[in-house]
Amino acid sequence: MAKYQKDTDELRNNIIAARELLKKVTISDLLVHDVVMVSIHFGMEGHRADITMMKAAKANAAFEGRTEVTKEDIRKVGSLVLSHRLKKRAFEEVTFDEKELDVCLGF
Amino acid sequence: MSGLLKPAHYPFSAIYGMEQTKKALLCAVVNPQIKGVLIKGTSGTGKTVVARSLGEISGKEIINVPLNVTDEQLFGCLDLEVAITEGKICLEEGLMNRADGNFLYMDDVNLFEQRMLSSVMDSVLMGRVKVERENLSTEYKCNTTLIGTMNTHDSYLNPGIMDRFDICVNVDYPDGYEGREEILRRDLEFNEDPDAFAEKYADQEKAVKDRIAKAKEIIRSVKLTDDDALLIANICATVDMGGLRGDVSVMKVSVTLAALDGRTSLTEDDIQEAAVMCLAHRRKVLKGRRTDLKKKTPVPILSDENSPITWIHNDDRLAQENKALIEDAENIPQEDDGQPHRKWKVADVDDVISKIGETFEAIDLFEKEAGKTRGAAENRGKRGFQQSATRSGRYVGSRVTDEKNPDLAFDATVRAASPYQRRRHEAEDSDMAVLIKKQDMREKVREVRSSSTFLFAVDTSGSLIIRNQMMAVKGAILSLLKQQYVKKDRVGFMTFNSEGIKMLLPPTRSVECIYKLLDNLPVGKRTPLSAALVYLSDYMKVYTKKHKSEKCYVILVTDGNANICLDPDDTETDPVEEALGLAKKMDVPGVKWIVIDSEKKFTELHHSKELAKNLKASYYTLDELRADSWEQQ
Repeated sequence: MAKYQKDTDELRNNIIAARELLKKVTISDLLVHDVVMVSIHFGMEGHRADITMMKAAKANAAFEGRTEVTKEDIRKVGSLVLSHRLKKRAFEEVTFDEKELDVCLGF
Repeated sequence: MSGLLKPAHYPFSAIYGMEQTKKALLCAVVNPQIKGVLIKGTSGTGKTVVARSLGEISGKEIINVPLNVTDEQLFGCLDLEVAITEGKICLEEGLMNRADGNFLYMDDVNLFEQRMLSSVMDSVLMGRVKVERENLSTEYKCNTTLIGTMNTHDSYLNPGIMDRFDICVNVDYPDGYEGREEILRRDLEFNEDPDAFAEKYADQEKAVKDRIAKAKEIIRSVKLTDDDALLIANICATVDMGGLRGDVSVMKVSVTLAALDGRTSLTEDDIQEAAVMCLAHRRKVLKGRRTDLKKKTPVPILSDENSPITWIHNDDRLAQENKALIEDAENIPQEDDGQPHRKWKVADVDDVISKIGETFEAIDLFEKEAGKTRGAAENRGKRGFQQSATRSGRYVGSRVTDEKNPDLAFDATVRAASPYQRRRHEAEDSDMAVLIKKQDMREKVREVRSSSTFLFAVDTSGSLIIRNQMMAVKGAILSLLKQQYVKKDRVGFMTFNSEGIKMLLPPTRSVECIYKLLDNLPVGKRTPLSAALVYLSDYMKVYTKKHKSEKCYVILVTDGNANICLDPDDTETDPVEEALGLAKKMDVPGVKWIVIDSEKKFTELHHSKELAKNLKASYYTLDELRADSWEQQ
């Protein structure tokens, strides 16, 4: 516990700062478009994936101390948002392909 | 987000798209005679958002019915306080009381118990709730409209219940990216400052409210001419409505649509639009006909607003139009057939072909099985809930018990005892707060979701490999599994050949690995059919004891060419005769057998038909499993 206390404190402070910063984080229309394109590419049906991806990208930007969402943010949260929503083909395990996301985002 | 006590709701007019759904809901707001609106759509398309937004524009409350609601909470029950303190029996209000004059809202309406759903629908349609329980017999008024949502994918709703919804709409989410982007931007804006967002749409909200107010004012003066009525009747007759609810709904909705438009006379467009909203979900699926969607291009439900169909009151033309409507209707995607979503299914077939053989749309042979003994309508329900014999399952009600150690329904027991408390306290001196006697005891009635087990026993012997049938067999198994997978049943997998009898996958719900399993099926040279039968019999005897509430099916996939006896060294007995004999004596209560003949053509060596007969199993060839071959018959 004592050993990790410093790391924990640091993390907590980061989170508190990010919460404050989150209010100021903006996402450009261009990136909104990217989010939607990723969603469509992965066959998401409702809007939950889009909305969550956008929110998560904003949170990630805030956590990294930025006020502007970048493509990198979307890339980072993409798998978290999409992997459990992928359409499962019956009787087969489907795994999320990071590369597919990269191609989709134009990395 | 601001910390308001009252959560900010997304404004009705800020909802992008969903025009048909919004219109249907407006109809329900304007015309209280429209008693039920069902909204169907895939998850996350905004069904709930649109339903919740109704509160603001209608000025009514949206009474949400939670999925775990009990009858007491929903319909009301004995008022305990009054009963105990005054010894009087009166009703404590339930959700249905509160729904009077408001909207009743049920999310995922198909997941509610059928019995409860049916009671709710009856009450809503009658406008009255009757409560007969626990010495209580009363009745109260309940003028409300039921708004239900359901997910298109996992959904089955009893046609009888479906029919009682006046309107059923499908949420159409935008295909292109522009719509989705707009939705995202609006969501962003809403979350940043809900109040400012509401302010922005205040004018539009007011416009909607005004439209509703105006429509309410004039709806009584909307005239339904004889011609209009004839047209409605004609449409309903053409699309082959069984009952008259469809006609009545179309009539109510088309009148409301006219009122919403500020008119007091109907146009053909009103009727056509109403027909689309009211009839699509009532269409019967004709028996023995499964429309193969891959061959035909699906056409939107009935005809959409832009379709070239115009209604003219001329009999010849009418007949012609009706024909067009029927043709349209025949192409309606068949819903609720338990199929996985088509989009990916079609795309996926290609890369499965090589190793596993072509997958196809399989007939639901288990449904067929059940359908033979029970009514076809009932067997779906059988896959819903059934009363539990053990102490597991959901508590749905209570009954009088004289068991020594009952599964006590505490609430019901106290309720039963409550009216007598005053008298009992007078009669005996006790410091107990509540005096409970033996006759008050109530036990819980529980329900469990009934499920089924499918054990596939597959003959993986050389005779199959030689005839190159294994691929086809695998394809068939996968196709059948896909059908079951949707229903979340248990699936097991066993193979038998001269190498041995292997239970590769004991019955389980996590079926993801079957695909891989099928890919690398171990193969052997010969067929120990007798041994397999003995093994299955032993296994299932234990299994059915452990899983009493399950329906068990054993699907035997074999060509019936047994060539190893129970005792491998025995050269006297004919292995086929032995297997057939064993089959005849097979007796495992609670297990249904299905034999799938893996032989392609009928040959001399073909014994599986006889095997099926001896097992009292139903018999299918690989080709018969295909849904399209069924259609041809």
